[in-house]
Amino acid sequence: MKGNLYIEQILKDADLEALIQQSSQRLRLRAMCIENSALNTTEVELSCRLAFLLIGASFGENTNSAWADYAYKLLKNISVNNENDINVFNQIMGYDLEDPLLVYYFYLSSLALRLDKTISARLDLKEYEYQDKQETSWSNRVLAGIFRALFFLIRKSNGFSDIRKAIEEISTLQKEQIEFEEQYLSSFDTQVQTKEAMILVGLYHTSKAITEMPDYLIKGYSYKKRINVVIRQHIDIALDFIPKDERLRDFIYIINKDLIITCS
Amino acid sequence: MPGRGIDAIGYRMDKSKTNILIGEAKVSAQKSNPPSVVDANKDSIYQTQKTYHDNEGIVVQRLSDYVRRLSVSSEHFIAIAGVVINMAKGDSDKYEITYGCGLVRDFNCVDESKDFGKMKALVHEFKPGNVEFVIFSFTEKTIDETVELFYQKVKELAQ
Repeated sequence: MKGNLYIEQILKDADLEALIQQSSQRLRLRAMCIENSALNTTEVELSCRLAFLLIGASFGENTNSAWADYAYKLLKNISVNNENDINVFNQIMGYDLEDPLLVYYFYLSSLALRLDKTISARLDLKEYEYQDKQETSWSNRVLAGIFRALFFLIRKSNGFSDIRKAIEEISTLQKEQIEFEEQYLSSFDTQVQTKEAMILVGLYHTSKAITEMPDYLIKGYSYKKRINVVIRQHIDIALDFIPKDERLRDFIYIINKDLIITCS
Repeated sequence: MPGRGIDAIGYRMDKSKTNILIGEAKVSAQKSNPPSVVDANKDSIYQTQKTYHDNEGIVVQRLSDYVRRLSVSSEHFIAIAGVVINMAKGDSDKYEITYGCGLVRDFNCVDESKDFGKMKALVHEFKPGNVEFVIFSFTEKTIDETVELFYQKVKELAQ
């Protein structure tokens, strides 16, 4: 049975249909500023599991756009202020980052962009609060910086303020690189060191794709290059340097889609 | 997945349900039959698979950890993430579990009539799941050479 048929079969389940309907209803009430009652842990857990599956299906080929819509609504069931909800999310779809909300907002805003809901993406990201949680590993620190810079570029609030913040985020990483990179790599044996160094180069190219965006947005018509091509080149190199870490490749692939939508 | 609980994970999808394989592998050159890694040790194949059978919550947790490392758009991810949803909901009519067991044996001490131990004698304890037990033993190969053959194949497949 093919993956898409399998997902359709799963979605026929009465409990899951009810959960999706309930999620839509909750979102409508929220839009009318009516506060919803909190979901119990089982409902949050099921929302996360189903959202994760549907995110996978949404970014694959021959996708059904309804799946991205369901995934978006299910993710909105998670209360970002509730520690239990965030722990459940992190266990099911996190990426071992100190700030699990980075992955949450990344998926939420990427789904919104995919659904042509740019305004929703911006509003969702306005809720994101910078967590003062330093990532312990340098590669995760770079990834966290990439996510934050991307959020600022999608959000674009307060005129050029967010664009400046995106540039700052990446330039901070560039300054920190001297201090952290060598120390990080020397903690591995030679074989792992090569693999980790390649992952870092892949992440640096992803950050280059991101920093191209502010340049494009600030220069406007005087930007002389083809932004899509420049982004694509950096992303292709990044993916070449990270052949094995499937989840990280996914993030980069989705970042590419987000950037292309954001600059179009 | 060495060190992460489940040694091997597989799946087979058909029209009505998905069959998920939970694999546990051990190596033994012990002369007795079955060797203690099959059903006597605390972390024997039997004890480990029994834990998975009696507590599907652990299986859900281990499979969740596994899918978090996969590409979300791969068919592998979709198949296993779907099974995890059905398991977490307790919809046992939508999936089947195969408890896969692999035993690497020195050809000098292998006994195919005894080495399955409790995995054969108490196979009913794993119902409604299925048990598949494979003994890897090659004549004229020591156990270390057999393990080496196995890892070479894994490396080849992983490249």
